[in-house]
Amino acid sequence: MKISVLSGKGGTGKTLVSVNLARVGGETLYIDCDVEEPNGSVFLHPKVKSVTDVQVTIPEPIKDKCQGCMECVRFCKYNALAYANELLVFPELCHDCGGCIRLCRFGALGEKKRSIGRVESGRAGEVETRCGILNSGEITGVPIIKTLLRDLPSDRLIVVDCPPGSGCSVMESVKDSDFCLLVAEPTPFGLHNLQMVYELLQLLAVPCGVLINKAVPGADLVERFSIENRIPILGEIPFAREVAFLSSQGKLLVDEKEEYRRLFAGLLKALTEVAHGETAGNTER
Amino acid sequence: MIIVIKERNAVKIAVTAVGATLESEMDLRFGRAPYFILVDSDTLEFEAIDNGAAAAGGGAGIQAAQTMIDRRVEAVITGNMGPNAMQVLQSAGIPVYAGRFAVVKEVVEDFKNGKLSTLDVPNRPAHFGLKAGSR
Repeated sequence: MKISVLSGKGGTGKTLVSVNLARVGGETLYIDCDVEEPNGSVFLHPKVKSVTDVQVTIPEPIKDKCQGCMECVRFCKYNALAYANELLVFPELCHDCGGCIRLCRFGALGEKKRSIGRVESGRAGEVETRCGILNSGEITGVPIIKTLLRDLPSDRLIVVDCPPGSGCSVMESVKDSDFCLLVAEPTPFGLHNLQMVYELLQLLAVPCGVLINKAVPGADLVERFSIENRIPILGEIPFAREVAFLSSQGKLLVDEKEEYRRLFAGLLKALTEVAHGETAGNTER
Repeated sequence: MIIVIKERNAVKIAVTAVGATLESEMDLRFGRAPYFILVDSDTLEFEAIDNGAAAAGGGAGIQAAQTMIDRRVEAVITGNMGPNAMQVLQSAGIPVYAGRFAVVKEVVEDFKNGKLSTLDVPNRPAHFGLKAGSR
């Protein structure tokens, strides 16, 4: 089963939830898709076993073939090309769509490989890990996320730690997920971001449930939204100094205290049940 | 009879602006300025171009610089420019001048009086205009 953990907003607790879920699940695979700011390894401390360089293809102008027709410049929606007496390529803006190369009638665009980051595969106890790392200044981490999600095992729980937001990299991360766990804070801002990712998942038709983090008695914004939209609430993590303190030490909550181990084991159980229910429901349809 | 043909030294200047007239203030940003005012330095005839690049996800400066080339602009006056836009304009041989916080008309006047200095190296990093503190 492949579960993606996401939230519209950064700092909500995606990584906290993902790493603890992966640990409590036993033999699991943890995938850090938050490639701009990967920090799952801060908690899991994996031993890196292999590193894969992630490359994209960018166009390379062949000067004597270019006629200056500018078809490619007009085609590129990412402004990675300009024509100023000669064709200029801005590699860091190129999204590797390959359109310009295919489009050129004069064969004036060759291909060139360019490294944008890497994937580190390793192990932390029973947890297998894959961490994506995007080089700074790069415009998109999608190629790294694609590499991370290639060749997935089918015999174990896979926990995908998603990037924040609801853009391209999030869509790529949740693609083919069996279930999404939405981590949300019970604040107006938290609710707003929850609504955004929820809307995205509706479009992608991926079933989901909510986990309330930094839960405070009486703050029921997220709860009300979830009930209104019939999203199952799968658990809550209390707003506690201890949680923040242990996290700041790079420790896993489930390793430190029985109370948290029970909390995450309960979450995993609830999640598995709801996800299986959804899958069964889908087959019936 | 001798006919004297007066030599015309008019330059087609583009000034980044917050509005669409000669009385609009110059915008300090290049790629993300809402308008480019194309002015004939001689006659002060002008045309305002709505900058489609202002809302681009990335590469606004590059797209704006391409517009300058396509419109056959001969000099650009703005506040800040990053390395990408600068590279495009330099390849096209279009000089960039540092304007000041004033209305377009005054900036053009400064240009005509030789009061503006050229910007030869980028004075802002790429993607600077995306940030709130760009002004």
